[in-house]
Amino acid sequence: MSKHIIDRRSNPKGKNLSNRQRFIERSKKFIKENLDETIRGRSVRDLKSGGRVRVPAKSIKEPQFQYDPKSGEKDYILPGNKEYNPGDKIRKPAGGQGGGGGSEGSDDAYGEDDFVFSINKDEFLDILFEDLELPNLLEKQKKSIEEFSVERSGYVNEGSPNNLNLEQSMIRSIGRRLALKKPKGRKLRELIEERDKILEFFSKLPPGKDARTPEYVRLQEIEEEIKRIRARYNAISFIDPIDLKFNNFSKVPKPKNAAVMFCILDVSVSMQEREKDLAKRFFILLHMFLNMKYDLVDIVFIRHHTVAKECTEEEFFNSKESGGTVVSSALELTSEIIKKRYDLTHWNIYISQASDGDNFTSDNQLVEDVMKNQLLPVAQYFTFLCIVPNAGQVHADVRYSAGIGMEKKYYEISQEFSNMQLGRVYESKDIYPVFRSFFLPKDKDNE
Amino acid sequence: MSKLLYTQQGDWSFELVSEIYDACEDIAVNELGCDTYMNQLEVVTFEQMLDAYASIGMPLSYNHWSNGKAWAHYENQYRKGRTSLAYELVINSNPCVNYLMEENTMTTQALVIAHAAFGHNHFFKNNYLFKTWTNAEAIIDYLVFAKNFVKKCEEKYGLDEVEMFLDALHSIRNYGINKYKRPVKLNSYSEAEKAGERAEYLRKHVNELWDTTVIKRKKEDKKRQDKEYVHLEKPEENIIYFLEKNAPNLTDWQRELCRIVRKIAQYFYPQGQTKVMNEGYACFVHYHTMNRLHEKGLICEASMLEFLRLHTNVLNQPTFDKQYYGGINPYALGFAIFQDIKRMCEEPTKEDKEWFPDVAGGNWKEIILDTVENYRDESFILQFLSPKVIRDFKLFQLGDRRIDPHYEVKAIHNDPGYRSIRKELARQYDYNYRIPDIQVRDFDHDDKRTLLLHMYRGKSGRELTNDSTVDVLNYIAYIWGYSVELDAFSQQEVFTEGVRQQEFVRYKQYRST
Repeated sequence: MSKHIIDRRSNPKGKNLSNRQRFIERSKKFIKENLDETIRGRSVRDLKSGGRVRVPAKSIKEPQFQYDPKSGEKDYILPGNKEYNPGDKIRKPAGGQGGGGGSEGSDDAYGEDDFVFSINKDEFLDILFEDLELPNLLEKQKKSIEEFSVERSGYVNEGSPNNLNLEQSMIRSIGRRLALKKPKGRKLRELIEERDKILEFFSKLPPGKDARTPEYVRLQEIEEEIKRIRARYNAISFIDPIDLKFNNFSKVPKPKNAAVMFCILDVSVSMQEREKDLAKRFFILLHMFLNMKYDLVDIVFIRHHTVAKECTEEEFFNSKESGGTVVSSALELTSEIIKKRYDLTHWNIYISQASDGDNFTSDNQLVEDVMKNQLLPVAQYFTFLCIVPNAGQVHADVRYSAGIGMEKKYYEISQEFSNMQLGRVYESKDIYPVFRSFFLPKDKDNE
Repeated sequence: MSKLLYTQQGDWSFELVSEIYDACEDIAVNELGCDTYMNQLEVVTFEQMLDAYASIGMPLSYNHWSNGKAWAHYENQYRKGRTSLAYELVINSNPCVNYLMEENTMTTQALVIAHAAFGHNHFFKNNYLFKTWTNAEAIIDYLVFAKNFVKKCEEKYGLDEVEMFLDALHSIRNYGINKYKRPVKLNSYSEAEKAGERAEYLRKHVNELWDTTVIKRKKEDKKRQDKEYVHLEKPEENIIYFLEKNAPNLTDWQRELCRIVRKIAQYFYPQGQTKVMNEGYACFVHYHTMNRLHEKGLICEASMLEFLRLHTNVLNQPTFDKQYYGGINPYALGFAIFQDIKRMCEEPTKEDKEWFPDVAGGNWKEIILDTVENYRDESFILQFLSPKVIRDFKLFQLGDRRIDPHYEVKAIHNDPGYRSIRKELARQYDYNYRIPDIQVRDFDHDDKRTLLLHMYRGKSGRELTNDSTVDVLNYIAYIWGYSVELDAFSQQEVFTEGVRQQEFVRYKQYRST
């Protein structure tokens, strides 16, 4: 019986790609719903991982008629009896209601668990930010930093040896040799061989008998020919300075979209673990989103109570402070940093503030001034996330409710400036909808 | 002593694989009497292996999200290192396609060749279930046809529409099978043309089921109590077939999809029923082959040790009290029974002569070939599970009654227990034990056109799970086009005068929109 051995390794491996896409398409809704869990424990700066995604098994189940493992009267056959005798009674494990032995087809046991799988970063971001946009108006104003990159640009006749392009040089060398009819080395070798043969033939003849034979005439011809070819062969060089070509490089300006994202967090006593955690999730989302839209994203963390301070991410979320809240301090610091470090012609400014809304009432006027005169005119977008103490308030309309602390003030300002958005969250599942509401294109909003 | 085929140093190569194959073939064919389809060994990467896994072990299949789900599942498991991929994958086709992973060592490749290219291959070609139900010649071509047909449908009628319909069909995949009626052999070459002809034929002909004149005559003939439902002479076990032929509103392409799904389900029907035997025999072949290679001096001690490690990993049977116990390992059970048949032939004991007079002292080669050909898991275990194997596995039987807060040990590995354990274990490998027996009993002929399904009660009196039953009924209703009802047994305990009785509860499910 014969056999075939086939190497299939070079065959395309992505056979299931379209199935995979279909599956992800189907799970999208649930990935969004479970976003919360997916981004738990990430750092704001972490953009690398796509991560593992959890989808409720129910949503993608393939139902079948199945026996309920808890029902009926059945027998299990189990291996590894050590101590049991017929008639022994074994108490069923509490709560387990029967499935104890687990000898039922193990397939159904899977069913209850959530389905976990991995998607890559791009897939993840696509799903998250599907149909979200930076507001149109702002897109036009996108600013950029000029950077240069070195790119190949053709060949030149002069250059340093390390840039020598062998292929191009040899093409020219061959061309030149052909054009000048440089004789082939092989031809020369053949002639020499022939000459040697004739000489050998002569050496075997008795002396004095060699003159006027046809071989002698041929020998003369060959000597002549060899001389002529040698002269020409040596005159035309194999490679000549005019053949040489060098790679050329030039600097090309590369505009880079750059954005800086300010995270402002109130760390006064009123902000507890929960509030900070919610804020963090929002910042993670914003950072991922900006990273998709911009080539370069800087993050500045500013925390404040009565005084504001720039800090690292670590400090930002972890350190504990006490005292009251003066929001204007943070806003002023932001404004200062922008002036000092971020040239407005190059940088797009995004400011995101999270707070429980507390502020000294006397500070509100100052806040309004800074916002209206310093921040909102230069910022691409200002988002304010208000973390409310109970669930009912999330969807309450700021206009009619009292507004929490300075939120009322912010609301008034946002009526004047279209690049300011307010949102309320109570628990982690509110964050994604609020985020979407900020960046959903306006025309879709109205539908 | 002959020369070693390969050494432990270095990777496998195509020449070595070819030489090993020839050495294995010599042993498998001449010593074990394997009779196989021609083998096609394909070297693949692990990604390609995952692909094949996800499309239910077939080299290709039509596109569906559930394959993507399976793929994501396996990939996740594999990357986490929770499971290693099987070393081999073999397709019941002619020529028989064997996948060899490129990461495998030479010893693993040798094991895989012996196991799959000879063990499984012989089983596919000779077992009566495979001979009856599958057509190795045609399956690949049929899958190509199916894939192209589904693709065309998607282009013509939209992805969602086709996907939804396939989802519905997949939910009753297990009911697209003729368990008793022998199928017509697949003939893939003309399948595409026939599909067209069938559609044409159906369009031209009246559906007899809906012909009222016929019905009336039958009604008089049969004095059925339930006078609403009298249209089927016998219940139909193949629900997809029934829907394909009789669902009133299906279009041609939908009927063809029904056919594709049930044809493929039918193809896998024998595999589900011969897991223990198929794997057991393949292990038996690889064990014999590798040992013989060693005896002949063709593989070295180190390779033999590597093989034994692989072998024991595959055949590991955790006891029931281990955390990772996942049921009886079909590889272990099958291998143990086949090895035991050989042992009984070579060194019969008194017990063997009493229990297996036909086997003890017989010719093991012939007996095993005959077994492979004529049994399936259920009958195989019922016939050949010996007291020795029961003792080795220390099997015991545990009764579970819902109303009893205790399990009861009914039998252990001793004289009075052997038969009971063997009978119960065999029963659990029966198709109907695992898959609820649900058939089309009848349908309503009035304007409601309700389809009536009936669940035949298994011996253990288990019930269906509520959620998934309702979901599946919704899917069936979607195909049928009208409402669907299922009569299913539900074990509601009713105590009358201290005696527990069971009540028969009917699920009702109406068409979902």
